[in-house]
Amino acid sequence: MDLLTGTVARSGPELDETGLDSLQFDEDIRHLITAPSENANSFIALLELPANQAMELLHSDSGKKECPNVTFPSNTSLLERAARFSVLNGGSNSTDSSSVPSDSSSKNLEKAAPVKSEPLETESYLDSSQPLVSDPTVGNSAPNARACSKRKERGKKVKGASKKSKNEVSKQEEEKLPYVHVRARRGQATDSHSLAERARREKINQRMKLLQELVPGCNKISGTALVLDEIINHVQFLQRQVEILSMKLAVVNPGIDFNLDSIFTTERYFVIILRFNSFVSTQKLHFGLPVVFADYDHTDLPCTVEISEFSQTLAINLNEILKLNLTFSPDKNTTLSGSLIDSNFSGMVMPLMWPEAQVNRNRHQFQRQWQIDALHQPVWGGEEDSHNFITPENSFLSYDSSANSGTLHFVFGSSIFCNTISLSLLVLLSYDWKRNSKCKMMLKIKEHHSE
Amino acid sequence: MASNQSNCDESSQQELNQLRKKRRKSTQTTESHLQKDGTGEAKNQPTVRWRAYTARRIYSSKLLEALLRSRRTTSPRGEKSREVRETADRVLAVAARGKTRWSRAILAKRARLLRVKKVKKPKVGCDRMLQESEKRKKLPAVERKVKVLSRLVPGCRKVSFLNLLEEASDYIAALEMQVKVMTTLSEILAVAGGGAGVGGGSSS
Repeated sequence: MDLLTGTVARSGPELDETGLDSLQFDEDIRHLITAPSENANSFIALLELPANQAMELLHSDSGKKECPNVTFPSNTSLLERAARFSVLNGGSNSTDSSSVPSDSSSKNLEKAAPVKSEPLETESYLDSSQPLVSDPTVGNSAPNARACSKRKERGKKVKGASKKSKNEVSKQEEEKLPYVHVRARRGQATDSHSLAERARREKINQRMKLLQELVPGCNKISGTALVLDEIINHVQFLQRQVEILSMKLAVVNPGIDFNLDSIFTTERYFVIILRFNSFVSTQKLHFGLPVVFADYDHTDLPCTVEISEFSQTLAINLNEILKLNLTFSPDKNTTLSGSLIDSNFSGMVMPLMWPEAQVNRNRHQFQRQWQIDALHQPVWGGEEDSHNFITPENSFLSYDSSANSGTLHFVFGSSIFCNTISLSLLVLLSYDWKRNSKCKMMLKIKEHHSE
Repeated sequence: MASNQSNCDESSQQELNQLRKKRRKSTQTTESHLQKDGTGEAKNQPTVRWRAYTARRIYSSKLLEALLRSRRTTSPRGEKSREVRETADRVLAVAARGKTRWSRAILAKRARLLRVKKVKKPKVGCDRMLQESEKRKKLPAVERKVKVLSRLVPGCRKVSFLNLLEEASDYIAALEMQVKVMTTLSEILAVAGGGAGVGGGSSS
């Protein structure tokens, strides 16, 4: 019985009494195998009862409880183990039958379908019969229940007589399943119509729950009508937001147009992020914008940032980067955009955002956004911005045509760095992408001891 | 002290790749244990699809491109905002990859505009409708709300309640992402544009 050995091997590290359990297991498997009746096959598998008792249940009214009481205690351990197996193999859903040991045996039954539902029902059994013991397993198996329930089921499963097994497990994350586990509770009708209705209601409830999670503030409301009200309001609110934002964008858009006349299609924003204390991030793109990272370790020294590149066209246009517009948060201990720290983007209003490169840090971050706009006239200074600390005196742009590079020098005072963790530069460069597909931008930070 | 390089072609390459290839990366770690699911259901949950960072990135880059392109081609004097909005919606629908009804409906709207509009036939039982509307029941409040909701979600007027809920959840997630991206984009562009404008003014 390599099946059993296989299963025992799997269960070895987990359980204590594997030997005893496997013996019982063997019994149950034999019972399952020897119970051939047509309709009741799935039924039996569901109940995990010996065949004769299952047949009794099937044919009796759906109210009797005596028979199940006999075998349930033995089954619960089986179920527990099965549940643990499914927890163990919860990830491997490639073969449906791998997660429950009895699945492999059920192949003999030529019905894999009913047994697939076993892990699902085992957990419900655990729920109902052993609330104490099953708490850790239920906790573990909850995600597995999701995984299990996502497998394609061949049909609805019906349990005529069961203890008060709730549908909590089957409700979890079954949104996209074509079929829904439906269990008739005690005393409920089991004809196909009501079952279908129940299944439909279950699906609707699942989807409503998902919607409730999406719409903020809907968790406390109960009742379909009110929840629908909230959903409608939320959708209308979002659509209105989109309209407002599109109006804003329509206004702002000409700004780009104005800026970039002929090389319009080849404009790209660069984001240059200077980081200190050598925090390395692997983020390469921010909102689709390429990012150059530069790390600088010495936070107490003034430094010169040199942006040099090796493509001629870019160098020429660097010459046109003339205005430095620097903005930063006046309060050095807080971030400019607090919402970035949670990386939730939950707030509607977001000031200048540099998402996720610095989000994962625990330290408080001080971010500044600098912008260098490409204009065609040499203008220096930040008259309009009182926070500018890069003035014409301490920065200059030079272009070295022989080396095909241009440099932007900024000289910072040392006071900047004591609380700074990163600086971000938004550089708008006019660059002919089509001609020069390869362009390298090198960012050098030089220490500047003089001055 | 270190210096880093960035490949400028990488960004354009990436955008091209985004347009061509499908991105299957999911950045959600909580759903990672579900990723081995055979049917791949985890990735189809609306929250996962639209909250992943890749989705935002794809959408923002596509939106930027589309906006720039639309600026070049057409410029209706009075209704720029509507055009921007429709562009944004279309790009959102494209980002949905056609798996949802509302996305297909949004894309179909534009195609329908190009065709000749059909003349709507007047309903036959008009009087009867009016009579019935007088004794209209106010009871199915849920039904009324369902109708309102179905009108809000594009392309979902004659869809069953169940599918409507599903479409609505996906639509809400997509709208949230759209709002976030458009907010940040408008911030970027506002600051960039504003800086340029002021600089141009001060130079003269």
